[in-house]
Amino acid sequence: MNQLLQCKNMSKYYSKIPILQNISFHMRSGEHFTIVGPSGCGKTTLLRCLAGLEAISEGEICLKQKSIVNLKPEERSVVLMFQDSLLFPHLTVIENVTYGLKRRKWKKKERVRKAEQMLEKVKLLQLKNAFPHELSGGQKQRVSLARALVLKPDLLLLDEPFSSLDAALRESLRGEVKELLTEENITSLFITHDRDEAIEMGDRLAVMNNGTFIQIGEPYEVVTNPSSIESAKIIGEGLALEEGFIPLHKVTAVPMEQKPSEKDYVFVQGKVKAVTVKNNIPCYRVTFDQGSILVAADRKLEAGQNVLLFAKREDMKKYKKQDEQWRRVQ
Amino acid sequence: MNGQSGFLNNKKRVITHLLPALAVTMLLVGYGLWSAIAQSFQTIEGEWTFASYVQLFNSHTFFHSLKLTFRVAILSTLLALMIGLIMTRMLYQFFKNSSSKILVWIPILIPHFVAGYLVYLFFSQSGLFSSLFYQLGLLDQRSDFPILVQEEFGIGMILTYVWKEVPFVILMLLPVYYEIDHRYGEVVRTLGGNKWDAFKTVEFPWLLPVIVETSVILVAFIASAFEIPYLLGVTRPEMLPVRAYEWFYDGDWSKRPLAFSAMILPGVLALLLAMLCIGAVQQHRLRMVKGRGR
Ligand SMILES: Nc1ncnc2c1ncn2[C@@H]1O[C@H](COP(=O)(O)OP(=O)(O)OP(=O)(O)O)[C@@H](O)[C@H]1O
Ligand SMILES: [Mg+2]
Repeated sequence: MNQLLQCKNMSKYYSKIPILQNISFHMRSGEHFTIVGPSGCGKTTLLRCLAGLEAISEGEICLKQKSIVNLKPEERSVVLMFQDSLLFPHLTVIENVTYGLKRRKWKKKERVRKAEQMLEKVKLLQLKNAFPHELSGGQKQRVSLARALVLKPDLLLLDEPFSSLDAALRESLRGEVKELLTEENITSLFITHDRDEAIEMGDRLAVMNNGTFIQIGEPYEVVTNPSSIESAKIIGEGLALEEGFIPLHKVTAVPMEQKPSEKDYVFVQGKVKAVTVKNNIPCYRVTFDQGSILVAADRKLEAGQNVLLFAKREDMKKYKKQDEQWRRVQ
Repeated sequence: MNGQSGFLNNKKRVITHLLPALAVTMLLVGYGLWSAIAQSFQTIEGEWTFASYVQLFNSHTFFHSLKLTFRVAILSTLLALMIGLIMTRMLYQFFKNSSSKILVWIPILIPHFVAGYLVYLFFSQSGLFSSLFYQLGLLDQRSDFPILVQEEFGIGMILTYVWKEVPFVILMLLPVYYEIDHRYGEVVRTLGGNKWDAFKTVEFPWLLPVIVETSVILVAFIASAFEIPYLLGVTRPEMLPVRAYEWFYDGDWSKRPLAFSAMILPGVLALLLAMLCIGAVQQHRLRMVKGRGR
């Protein structure tokens, strides 16, 4: 097996309160793995445990078949990139990037050359002598990435690295970073609570809730086939109902009065909250008692209108039994 | 627009209100300073001259005193900074959610003179420690106890200043420690640095401006304080403030200009030192303030 990372039954308690419970997963070498989950579900804690900044309470972590549970953070070939860039303010860009290499006792010439190559790749070579306060938010985050990548860690952990940037910048950086990670052959574990980011960045995706993974799979598979209603609500692209999940493109909204007569349709009552445009098609933000959803409609709707969300019963996917799902994953 | 002119008005108003107090302070301090400088350039009869400075530069006593003064000041400051820094590191975790911070204030409330007296009481050859060691049989005679106070190097003075200024250092450094984003230390660790690297890269640069300020204050204060050297120093060489005091009260007043110039010279030295140090870290300070966080 060319498994790079294996986590077995990992748990973490803060003063007896379980934060992570029984997490097991593995990562292949070169794989990009994303974790998505609501705020407070323990994503950051998981990364901190992997990086060695927190001790785990139970379980085992193996990197390259060797247990790293008892290693200090600096002894693990794992680098954690934080939500903020956290560049050292009194060091220039190039000094920041060479920092890790210096700790590894590289010769000055070598580390500067290596760092310049990396800065070239993140398109910031011309700013190598600038200080962090002279950079924009996006530039800082790139330097931070270069600072991590230059070390060629076995595993790179990224904790919502783009969440403090604006939407447009986030989208452009996303593609750039994924390309760079693949090019450098870096195995990465990427955390986000942005669904699009999760799908785009990952080869595989895990959905996390309340300190455990509730589903792991290929992004497309997870998004279209959530294994439970929680998973469907967190990541599913469509209508998450108690009985099952309906993919978005099968759902339409109609005015309340035009209830279709056929009995093999699923209905949910809702209300149009806003009208918007997505992919050049008018779309409606419809709220219902389980949440809200952005859907298309056959005819024009108005904000404030009561509507029915409906889909063919045969399009509804039953949630897979979780046990069955778990057996498949592990 | 409105807000800005309002702010300006406000600033002006503040200055107007403070003016009386400012004027009195400036007048008193300014007059004192001016009078001291003027007298250092005059003879007793009031003629203008450089004589006292020429005399100082030709005086071995002065240079011995100057050397001793700055040696005691700088050594005390360095020791106080080092001990204070180590203690701050140990204490800040502990103080995080506790009101025991107040405890650090207590030594600050003790007057320097009392602190000096305590050192004398404990560390002199006839003091409590020598007596204790003698009683325990560790010393054959009490005079075997090392001479720590009233000797030429100024150990007693340094001892007093260190234990008196360590709490001051802690008070200066503690707030900075709470400002430091602890994630920076974690960044160092995850990039392969150890705890010492984390101290060098994160804590020290953060503390540097305050350390420099604190040391300037301490050096200037110690170099010009009178009571501790008077209590714990020796007759020759003596610390400059004591030297100046003696010149000032020397018989026929003819040495008063010397007394003034003997205090003005180290004052100017300390001022230059302060400007140099603070200027040197100014750039660094700005980078730290503007570049932290995101
Ligand atoms: N040092 C700590 N001591 C006690 N509880 C903690 C500590 N750190 C985190 N927690 C708790 O652990 C839980 C998970 O926190 P964590 O930061 O891992 O969430 P997260 O998934 O990263 O959330 P977000 O998406 O908002 O960043 C939270 O309920 C938090 O209160
Ligand atoms: Mg987090």
